[in-house]
Amino acid sequence: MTRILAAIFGGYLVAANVCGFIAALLPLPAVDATLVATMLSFAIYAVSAIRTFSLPSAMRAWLEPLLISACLYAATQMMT
Amino acid sequence: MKDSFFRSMTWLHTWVGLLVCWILLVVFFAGSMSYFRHEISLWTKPELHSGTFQHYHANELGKQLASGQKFLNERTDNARDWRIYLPTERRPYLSYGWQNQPEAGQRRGEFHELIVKPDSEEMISEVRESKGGNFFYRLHFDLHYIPAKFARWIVGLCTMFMLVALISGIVIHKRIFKDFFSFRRNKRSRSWLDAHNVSSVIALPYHLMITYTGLITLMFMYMPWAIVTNYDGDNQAFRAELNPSRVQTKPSGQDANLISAASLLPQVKRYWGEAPIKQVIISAPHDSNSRISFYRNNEQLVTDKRTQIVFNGVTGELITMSPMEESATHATYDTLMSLHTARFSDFILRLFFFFCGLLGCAMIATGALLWAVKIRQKQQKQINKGEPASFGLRLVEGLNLTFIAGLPLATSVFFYANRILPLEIQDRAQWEADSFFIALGLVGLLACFNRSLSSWRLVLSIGGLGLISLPLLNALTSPSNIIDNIVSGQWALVGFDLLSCLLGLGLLFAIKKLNTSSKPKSAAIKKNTAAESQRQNLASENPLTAKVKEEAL
Repeated sequence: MTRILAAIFGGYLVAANVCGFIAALLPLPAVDATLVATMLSFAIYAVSAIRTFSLPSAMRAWLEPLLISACLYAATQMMT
Repeated sequence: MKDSFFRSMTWLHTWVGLLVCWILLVVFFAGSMSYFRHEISLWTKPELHSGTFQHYHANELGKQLASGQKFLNERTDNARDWRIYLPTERRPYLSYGWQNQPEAGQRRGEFHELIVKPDSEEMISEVRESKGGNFFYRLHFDLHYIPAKFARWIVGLCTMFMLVALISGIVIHKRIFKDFFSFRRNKRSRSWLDAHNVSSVIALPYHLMITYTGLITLMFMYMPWAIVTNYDGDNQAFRAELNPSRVQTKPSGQDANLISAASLLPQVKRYWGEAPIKQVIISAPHDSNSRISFYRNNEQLVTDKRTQIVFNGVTGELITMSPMEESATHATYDTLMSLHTARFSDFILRLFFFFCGLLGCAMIATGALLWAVKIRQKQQKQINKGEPASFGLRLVEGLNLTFIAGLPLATSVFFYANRILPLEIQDRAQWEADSFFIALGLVGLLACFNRSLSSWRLVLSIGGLGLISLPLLNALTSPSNIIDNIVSGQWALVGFDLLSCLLGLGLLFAIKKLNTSSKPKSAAIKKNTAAESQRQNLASENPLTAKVKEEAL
């Protein structure tokens, strides 16, 4: 159960942060960077959700997305 | 989790699929119907079946625009905009429409549309109120009876589940190629698994494409974070940059003389050459900020964008036009969008997409039935001892009956309601939609009491007979029947009749198989329904797979 929540919410958190990160990172016009980042985000979400179910412990299933999200968020904030 | 990656993926595939499969089935089914949105809308308005049909004529354009503008000028007062729809392949008639100013508390004003008879100034105004194909189109992403925004989040979440189910399904599939050519009949759950595999694998590229692009169609709502990063969450600023020619100008409130739209045609021709025009919209007529927009009919271009040229409605100067060139990123986005909506495709490809959509329905349905058959096998010992089946199993079997057998029935009820309901009742279009859900509800009620083979047979046969007799219903309740339509070349109507017949026959075929088979109940049925939609697919597939499947069925 906790894994399901981790997959839905943790996965979304990762996808959202990757989305923001790519949007800030790409050296394209803002419109294009936004499009690329948003279009890719669902693939990230799917991969992240699937990964949640393949990790050995529920603890890690929560920790990983939170850590990744935190790092990406910090990086995005630094760039903008 | 489970002891191995493979085991945990199997578990994931099962649950991610089962939890949302009935909503997905509705979404898939409604989406498949939406490929024929305009054709269905035409069929549901028999008043338009005779004496309105016309082709697009470039040399008539000036005349049509002038008479449209004249008519709208006399007919409307203080309208928000005027629209002139020119005949296209899928909407083979000329019509004039206008939108009133929104009432207080409304986002959009009331919209009116009148159809013009060819070569005359006469209008058809007595068209029955019906949602037609738009009912299925809206059902596809707004569901029904719940706020649209909420519904879109539900559908989005289900789509995400579907994407995960597809990926995990591919992961757990050890022998895609080998399984593709093996189909074991009459082996209970084994046959189910094969039916599920066949319907999934045949259209796998389509399933992946349609699921992902489905998310893309509403992606700015689901994933606003890139806009938050680059535009501080200012959606409007982003959209203005994405589609500069779509920015609306507010009326100034000062009166000014409107020029004639027909006088702009030479300019349009200079930019677009002989490309056909789909519609002309005159916003804020008689206002100094009036705009006249021409929309091109993009025909077979793989694009979902609205190619337009916008002129000032007072001076006639060019204000903006869709760029002929766009960035690679934008082109990619555009292509993905149009792959989902298939607005670019001609009839053959549209039909192919429709059958792929039905295969998707078969994939979802066989998956749900497979689960029920397997669990029932597990519980068979207790059931034989006289204990009832578990609640979960009864629930799944009931939902299966309701949605798998009920959807075709509800669809035929919708079309009967369209022709049989009195023309003058209040909220007629809503009643048509209600009949669809009432039918579904009745099947659900039946499923509460009896989920046995006889229920399946009953529901499928009513649905099948209903669909088969739709051409007959059309002949009785509209000015023209299928023969007349073939003669006058109204292929949209002919296609509707033929396709509904074909689907109805498929359902009856499933019942026939059901009566001759000795398999457990749901298994027999669904396999045949799956087989049936595959059978219909044979025509549009390469001979090799067709042959293999013919042997399998």
